[in-house]
Amino acid sequence: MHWKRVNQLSSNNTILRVSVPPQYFSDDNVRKLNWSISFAFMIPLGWGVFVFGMSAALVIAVCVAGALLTELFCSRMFRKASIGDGQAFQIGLLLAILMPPGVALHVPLIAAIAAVASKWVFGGTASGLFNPVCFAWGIVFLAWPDLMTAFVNPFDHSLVQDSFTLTRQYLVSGNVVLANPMDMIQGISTALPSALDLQVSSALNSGVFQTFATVLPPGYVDPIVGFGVQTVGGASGLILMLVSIWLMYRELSGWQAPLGMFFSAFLIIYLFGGLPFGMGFARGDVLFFVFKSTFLTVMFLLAGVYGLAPFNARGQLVFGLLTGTISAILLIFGLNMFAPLGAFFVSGLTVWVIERTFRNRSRFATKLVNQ
Amino acid sequence: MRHKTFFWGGVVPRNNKQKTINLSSRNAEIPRTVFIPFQGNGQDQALALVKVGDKVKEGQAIASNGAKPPVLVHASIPGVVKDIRQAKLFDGTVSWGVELEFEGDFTLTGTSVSTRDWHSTNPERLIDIIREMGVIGMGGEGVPTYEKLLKATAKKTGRLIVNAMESEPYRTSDARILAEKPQEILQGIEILAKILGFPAIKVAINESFLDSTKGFRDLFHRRQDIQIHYLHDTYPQGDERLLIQSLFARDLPTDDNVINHNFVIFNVSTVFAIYEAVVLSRPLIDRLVTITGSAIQTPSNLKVRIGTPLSAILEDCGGLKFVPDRIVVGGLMRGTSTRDLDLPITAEIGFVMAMAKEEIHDAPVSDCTRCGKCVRSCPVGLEPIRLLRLAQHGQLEQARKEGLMECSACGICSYVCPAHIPLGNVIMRSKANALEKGEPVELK
Repeated sequence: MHWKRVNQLSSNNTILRVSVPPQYFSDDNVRKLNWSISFAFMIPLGWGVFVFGMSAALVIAVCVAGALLTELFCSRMFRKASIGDGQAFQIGLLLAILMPPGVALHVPLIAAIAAVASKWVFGGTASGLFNPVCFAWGIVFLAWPDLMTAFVNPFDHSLVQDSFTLTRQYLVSGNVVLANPMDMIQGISTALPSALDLQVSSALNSGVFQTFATVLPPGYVDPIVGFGVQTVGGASGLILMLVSIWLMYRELSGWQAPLGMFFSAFLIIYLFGGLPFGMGFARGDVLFFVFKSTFLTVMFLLAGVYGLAPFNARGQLVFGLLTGTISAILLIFGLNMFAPLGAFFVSGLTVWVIERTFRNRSRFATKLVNQ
Repeated sequence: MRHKTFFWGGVVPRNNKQKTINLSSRNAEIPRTVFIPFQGNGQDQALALVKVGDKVKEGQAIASNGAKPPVLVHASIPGVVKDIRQAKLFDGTVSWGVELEFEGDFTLTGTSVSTRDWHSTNPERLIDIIREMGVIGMGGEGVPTYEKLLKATAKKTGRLIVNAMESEPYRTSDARILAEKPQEILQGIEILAKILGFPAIKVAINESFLDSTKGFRDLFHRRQDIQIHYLHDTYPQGDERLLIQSLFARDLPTDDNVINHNFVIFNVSTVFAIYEAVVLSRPLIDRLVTITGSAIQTPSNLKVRIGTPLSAILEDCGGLKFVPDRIVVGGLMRGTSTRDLDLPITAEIGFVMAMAKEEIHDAPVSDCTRCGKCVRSCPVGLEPIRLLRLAQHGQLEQARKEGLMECSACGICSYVCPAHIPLGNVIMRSKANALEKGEPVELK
């Protein structure tokens, strides 16, 4: 349609909109942000389904469905259309990443309900003391530590039957006896390494490590390549790292928190990690603790993602250092594969303190004149 | 080639300078009537030097700003004084001004004028000429140029910066001046150099003008006294403090004029106006304006007479293709949107845009997701989301401690916020409240 001369718009027209500056906005919005992060989360989850089979798929489905249904219920109750912004879906996926693949299905369901409900109760993901996912994970971990540590070996696809049986038994008779969570590391370390792991370890030993008079024990390659005994989303360190790089590239995640976490954990584990095993000071096996726990999941996926960490760079670095320190201490002296998640849960409580203590300073304040 | 920029924050906004950067400027049609506001948003009717019914020539002084000595305002067209009245300006203020109806012949435009030999004129006289010709800052600040020069000449040494960054998106009027009037800009810079006597002169140009400013660049080849710096096209690179940070790696306080730190910055349009005033004895009666946006029939760079109504320049560009969502004046990031098409173009306005809804990417406000984009983008290093929360809770004293008063109102925090929270607006209102009553600010 060719218009319409300008004078047809009278001076007191109400067609044109009037607004405060800025007059236009970046094409980012919450919906786009959430779906981008959700897309990133789907990659390790997809691998989890490949490695752990239908049991992992069931956990993901329950987490996502639980989160979406709770969001639908809350949005109806509060009369606010929010289901399409992708936040509930993202919460569901993130919870699924942190769940063990063999968990009884009422656990992810309750976690999903708790996460979304807490989001609404606190007035949004950014408003509460806890991040909703941290909050929900903490609740179910404290309530069912035995079920939350029901890890399985990769490619043990028979578990789909067991998930239902386990759920029924647990809910009806309550007589299920599971492993003590403190036995986790020991349990994982006795899991048999894959043929690929053995081949690669042997090749690396003869090609590289022999030169430095050291040996890479079997079982260290699996967690990197993707056959780690882990949570649904944490089986592959490599995928977690690639996803993290993509998130950083898309500016959906910062590098400061992962770096801080890696640095502090590396230092503490190296210095004190040997003590529980009678190996003495500065003899810690960093790779053992990092690969055999949820450390990589927390470092690559949780610590840096905006919304979970403090909002300024300095705060993120401090947050990473703190999470790494607590992770290392819990790993060394607690011997629990979920120690990094626990550390993330605890340090999540300090975010508001970190934000206030390590806040940005104006670059153009009078005191900053550097003449 | 990687070009320098400031150290902290900033954004590269969606931009479409390409739409108008290669369009040669042309003279806008002479409007039937103009409304010329008094300088400094004049609050006094008595500032007028003419009365209703008087005939005025093109370039004749019609008002002063009341200062001693006064900065004069000139008739942008020949005509008859139809009214002396108040009218709203683009920044929302109301100013007295003179309404002229076009009549008579042009005495400045289209006639051969003798050029002034400014080399043999002393600096004091040059400053006086600039004052008489009504030259004011055309980068948006509107401060009389002679006042700035007087302050700067009191300094024994300093640095002169010519600002051709034009970091506001879509805007290309400064780029066209550089491309079309390189000799004139060079002379303008030399006039300023003579007045100020500063040894070091830097010209900061937006890197996206690299191709269009080749002629300008060639002029400065082998000149030791004037350096050209192409800076990264990051918003708000054109801000005085960020420009100094980029060029000299120095942070200057917001509560002090940069002149007190021996820096003098002039917009390139102002430099051109100085050239016209000194060499051609032509007062500030017109300026180059970029008119763009998807609703504009023919986007253009127009040389517009001061006081021309907005509707006239939109008509000059072939009218509108469709009813725009909003018409923006001044700049996308800091400018205002208006419904008033009788709004006069003043010397500070270099940009008009008629925007379609799709160009705006507006959305309803949602809850903060703690993404921290506002914090990472703030060029001053503030935490806008924290300032917003403090403002909402009425803790303005704490907000002051955390840098509320240092906010430069660049609007980046609102631009980047994916939740579309009007952070910038709340912070600006908080600043005003902090100075007055200290009341909490509502989010709206």
